[in-house]
Amino acid sequence: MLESIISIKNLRKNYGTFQALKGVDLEVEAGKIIGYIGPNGAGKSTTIKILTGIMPEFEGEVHVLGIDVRKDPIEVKRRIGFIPENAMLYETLTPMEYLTFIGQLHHLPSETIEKKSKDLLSVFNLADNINNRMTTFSKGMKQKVLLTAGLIHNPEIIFLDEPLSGLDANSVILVKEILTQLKQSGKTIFYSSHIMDVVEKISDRIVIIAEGRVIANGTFEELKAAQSGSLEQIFSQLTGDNHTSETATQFLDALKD
Amino acid sequence: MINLFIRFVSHFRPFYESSGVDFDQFLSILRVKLTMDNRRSSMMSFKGISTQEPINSQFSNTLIFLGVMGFFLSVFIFIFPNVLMAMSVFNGILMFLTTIIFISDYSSILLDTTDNYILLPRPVNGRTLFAARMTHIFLYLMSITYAIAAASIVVVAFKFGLLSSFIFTLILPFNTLLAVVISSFFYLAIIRFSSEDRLKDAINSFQILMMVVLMGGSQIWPHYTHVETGFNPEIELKWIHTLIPPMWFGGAVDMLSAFKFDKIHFFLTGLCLFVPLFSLFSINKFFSNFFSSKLSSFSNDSPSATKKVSTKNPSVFKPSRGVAYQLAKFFTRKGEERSAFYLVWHVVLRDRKLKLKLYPQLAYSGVMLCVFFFTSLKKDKPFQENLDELVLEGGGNFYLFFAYFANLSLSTAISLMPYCDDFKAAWVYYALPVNKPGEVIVGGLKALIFKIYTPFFLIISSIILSVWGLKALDDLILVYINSIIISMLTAKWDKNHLPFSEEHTVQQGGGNFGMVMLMMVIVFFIGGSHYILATYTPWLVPITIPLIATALFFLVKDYKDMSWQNFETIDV
Repeated sequence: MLESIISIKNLRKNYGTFQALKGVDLEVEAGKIIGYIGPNGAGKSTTIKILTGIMPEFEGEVHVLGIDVRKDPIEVKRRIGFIPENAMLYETLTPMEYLTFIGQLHHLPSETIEKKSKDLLSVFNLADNINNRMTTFSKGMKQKVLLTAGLIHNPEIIFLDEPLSGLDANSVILVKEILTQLKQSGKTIFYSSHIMDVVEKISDRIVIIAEGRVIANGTFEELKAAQSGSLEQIFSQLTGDNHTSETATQFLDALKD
Repeated sequence: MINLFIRFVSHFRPFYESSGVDFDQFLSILRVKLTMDNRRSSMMSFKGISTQEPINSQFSNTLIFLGVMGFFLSVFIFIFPNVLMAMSVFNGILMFLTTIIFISDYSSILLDTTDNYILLPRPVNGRTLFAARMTHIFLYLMSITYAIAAASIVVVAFKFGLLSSFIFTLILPFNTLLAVVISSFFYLAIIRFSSEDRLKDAINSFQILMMVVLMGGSQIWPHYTHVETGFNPEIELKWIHTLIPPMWFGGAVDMLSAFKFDKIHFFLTGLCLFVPLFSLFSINKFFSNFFSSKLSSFSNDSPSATKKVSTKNPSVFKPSRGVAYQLAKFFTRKGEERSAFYLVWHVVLRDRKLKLKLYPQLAYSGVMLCVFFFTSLKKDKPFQENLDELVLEGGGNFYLFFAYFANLSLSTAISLMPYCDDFKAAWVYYALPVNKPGEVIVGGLKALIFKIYTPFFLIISSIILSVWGLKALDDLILVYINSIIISMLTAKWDKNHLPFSEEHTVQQGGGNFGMVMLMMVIVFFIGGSHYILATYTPWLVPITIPLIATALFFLVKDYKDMSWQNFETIDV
């Protein structure tokens, strides 16, 4: 087996008395697309925060690109890209100003920043908005700027937390295509999502996490061999919530007075 | 303005780099922050109204206001006959004001976590981030310092000559730097040494403690250091003076403008220049490395921040029992007003930034009150005798002074009500069928009156009643109604803002402080009239109560009838 590009050994993380991660082990090979899925509150975002060096306090061993995340988070951050979920960016800036800022933090030359930003944003149909403030942008438009910001420094691994949220159908297809092509150019992609059919189609490996533990890890075919059905059904069986239709009924009952 | 700041800072590149800061990243962060300060982001843009107008004016207004305050402070330059004392005292006042404004208005910028997801995933080290924030704050506080000192610079030039004035102008940044560095040192130490879970409480307690120490110190200090010697034109410098930081600045101006090049003057000047720089250098070296990693644990979105609301408090959704429910039932009308009441009641002491700003201010008013009380006592008499004298003083109405003091807490709370980290959630006001936004404001104001002001007022009232007796009761009722009127008027004067609908901004910094000062002036006039009324025509007080109460009734009604038009025209 090739050397892992991401290696997690017995990762634990507590918030006070709450155990968010209870011993996660995971090895990821270079050049793969990893779909990281799990119910709300399972520890997905926490894992990604630790892998990207944002959260340096944890127990266990985590290596990204062979670098110990705890020892040299800056070097890790330099070589990875992270696209957060909540459309967090400085909204009062224009996309151009924002990308220039991000590019400068990565010490990119200003001509490169300008050229790349223009090219990437026009791929996303944002060329006309390049000098408008982002306060008026839709969620999808902001998500596109975030994607651009996460890729502008040509990172080796790309972490995405819910990359498709807020995007319209065409943009979802575009992002899926971009992810696949990034993979073909040798990048590793680690992303979390709730959109199961997308995960099912583009992931080389699917990792399911629930209550702070990895409960399944393999290709979609391997998962299907263990539990039949679509990924959505497998997910629902594994994460122990197969009373959804009852819950839905209860919800509707509660709406009536 | 931005380019001016950036050019100013660029001169210090070697200094920043030697302490481990990536200067290019530092400049980009600073430039972006300053750019954003000039652009407002509020819920008004949600309504499709463009708000591309710069908000520089907000900060300029603060500066003008502080400039006027500084004009009155320049009296201190007049009353001290020699350069040394005048400069020491004035620099001391500046240092004190800078520290207070830093703690109450700017510490939230140092500990800002809203852009964690933007900055922390990037290869920026803790030192760079810390340096950027410190510099950002420093630039604003330096502007504030110059605004306060502007009048005095002129006065110094007239009284002690142009050279003194020139030196004074030059050392001011060091003054600001010292105040900022020393206070942020404490913040960093707390961040460094307290555990993730305790961090927020630790910060809040520290802010309150700091306010108590500062306010108390500023009142008690002159009693023990015999300021009177300063009025003597021939004061002799002693080595003990090197322990008092404001004296460093006084010494520096004295040495360079009066050409007194002796050992002690040299030493003072050295301290004034090197202590700020050296402390900045060392906290950046030894503490700020942890800065970015600790920030990530400080943010609101980590599960450690999930605080269980104790079951004793009634939930917003099921308010069947509890104080909030009872008060809401009696004092608010069902609908917009009542839900705004609950909203403000529950959020005001939970929002982290609000707490960071509100608690120090509350502590400030509490301490001021104690200080006034104790300094009005005379040292050489037993307590009881002092108390008896106090009761008789000023025609026996001295308590009015204390009673009006509780107003500080209310005005602070009201000036902070519009601001919230989750200001975007204010879309509900526009999405829901809210007909009279005025009712929302009134509901919020009522919540503040009951949650913040009333407890404070009741404590003070019970003390007053136990000392002065029941005869104070009618006055206290009048004070209560007056205070509410005063704060409603100021809230109105300060434009109409829906609760929690605006972003905390840097530009607003110092503004809250200014607003509270303005309130104090108004309180002084209304309290003064009340005092005259109570002293010369005490029988008029009970008659005034219904009149004032009627005025309050109409004021509230006027508020409630406000329509959306009032907001758009005023806010944009």
